[in-house]
Amino acid sequence: MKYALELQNISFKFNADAPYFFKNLNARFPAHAIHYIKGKNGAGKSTLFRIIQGITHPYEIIEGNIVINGKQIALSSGMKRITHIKMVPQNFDRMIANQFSFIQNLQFANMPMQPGFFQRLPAYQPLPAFLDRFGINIHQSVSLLSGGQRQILAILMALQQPTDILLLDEPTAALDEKNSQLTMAFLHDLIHTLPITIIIISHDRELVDTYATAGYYELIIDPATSNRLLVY
Amino acid sequence: MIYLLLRVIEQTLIYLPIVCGSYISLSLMKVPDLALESAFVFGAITATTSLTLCPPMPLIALIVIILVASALGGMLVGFVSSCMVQHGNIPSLLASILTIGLFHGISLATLQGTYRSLNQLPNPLTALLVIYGKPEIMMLALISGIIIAFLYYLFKTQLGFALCIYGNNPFFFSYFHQSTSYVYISGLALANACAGISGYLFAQTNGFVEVNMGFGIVLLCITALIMGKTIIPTSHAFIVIPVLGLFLYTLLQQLLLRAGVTSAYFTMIRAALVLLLVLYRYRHMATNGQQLGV
Repeated sequence: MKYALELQNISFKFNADAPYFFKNLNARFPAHAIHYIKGKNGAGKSTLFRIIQGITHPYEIIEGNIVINGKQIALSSGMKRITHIKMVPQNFDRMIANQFSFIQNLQFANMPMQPGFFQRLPAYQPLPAFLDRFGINIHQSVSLLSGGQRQILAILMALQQPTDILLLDEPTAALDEKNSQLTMAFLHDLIHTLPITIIIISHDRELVDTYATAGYYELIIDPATSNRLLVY
Repeated sequence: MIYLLLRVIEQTLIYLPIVCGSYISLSLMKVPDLALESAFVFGAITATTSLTLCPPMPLIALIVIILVASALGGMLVGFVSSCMVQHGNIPSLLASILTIGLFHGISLATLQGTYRSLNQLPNPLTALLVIYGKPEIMMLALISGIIIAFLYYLFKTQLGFALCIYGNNPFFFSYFHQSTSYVYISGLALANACAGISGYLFAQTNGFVEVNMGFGIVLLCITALIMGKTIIPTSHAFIVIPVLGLFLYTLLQQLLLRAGVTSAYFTMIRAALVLLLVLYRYRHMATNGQQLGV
């Protein structure tokens, strides 16, 4: 089986004097599927996502390896962000410029590191054909879209650059039931269209129980040792 | 009547660069850029200092050098202020106030006093036609036209949109590997460069530079912008907003002067006008956070 992401003996401390926050975490995520990591608040879900992306501070201690599409990446303190892994945060509205249209936001996501003085807005990646089913008017201001539709926009913005793995941090936490279903339906359509792997992190038991029918990882805190464990 | 109209147009053309600059920083980027006041003065000082240092040359060549000098002077103010925010983590309002303090001292040192007369120096603004006894108005119109054309073009580029995005969501860029500090510094440098040009135009048309001549200029900008946005209520970049707002402001100013109101009361009138317009236009926006921008 081909794995999009493998975590190998990941250990992590917030600084040299702190106790281990993670100790020897191991996990494997098969390619081209949606995976779920469940965990209560404070279990370290967002920290784990930060490590997977390679966003760490120089004073943090990190050990182990991650393997992306069979290619090993040694983790180190203060390392640069790992390309080809994109994340949509829980407060996805911070990725969006509300006063502009859906299309313009996609173009903004494609701008270079230093937006050009003389360049017009870049083109955007072709929209998925199934987007029509989600009732999005791509030319109207994003502020008029529903929460679920804005979440879809944030996901498509993250996918404007080449992406192998998409991380979603609590994608339904800020949404009502209808918008949560809309977002999940979109993700299931997406995984059948694009060659990507999606990892969803959530504390929402109902969401995980409903959609993670093939199983899920859970981040738990061992009451005896206070170590965080990643169990399947 | 023609005299009144010419006076309104002349005043509009003098202040147009700084109001366009403030439209970038105060309105689009929603940054409390009080340093515009320093850029207005320092742009005038760098331009007039260049004027004293330039050898004799055609006025057309001279105006290009002087305008570049004034823009660079203003840009330096914006650069210092924005670097304090982006690289020193200083809040933008405090950074503006510190910049004003710094450049007040630098201006005094450069001028070697508080005042410099331009009467003995050539006036590059007179290089074009004289209209109704106004020798500077054609050059002012040309300069304003170039600035409007430049900003019209800028607002259609990546950087122009990025300036609007910053005002809408300053966290945006960090999610897409784009440089927030580049956008912020570029925006404020551009805005203050415009203010520097305006400072020179004001100094040249009045025949002097004075370190306190920027007092109240930010309030003028805010008044003009709010008037413009009251008439054209769009949050997208639209160069007509500052132009129209400033024209209406100067028209109102000249009418009040004609009615016998002395210029000493103008700061108060500006403040009252802003208050009234804000109460009228922004009251319904109080719940969505948009009231911070002008």
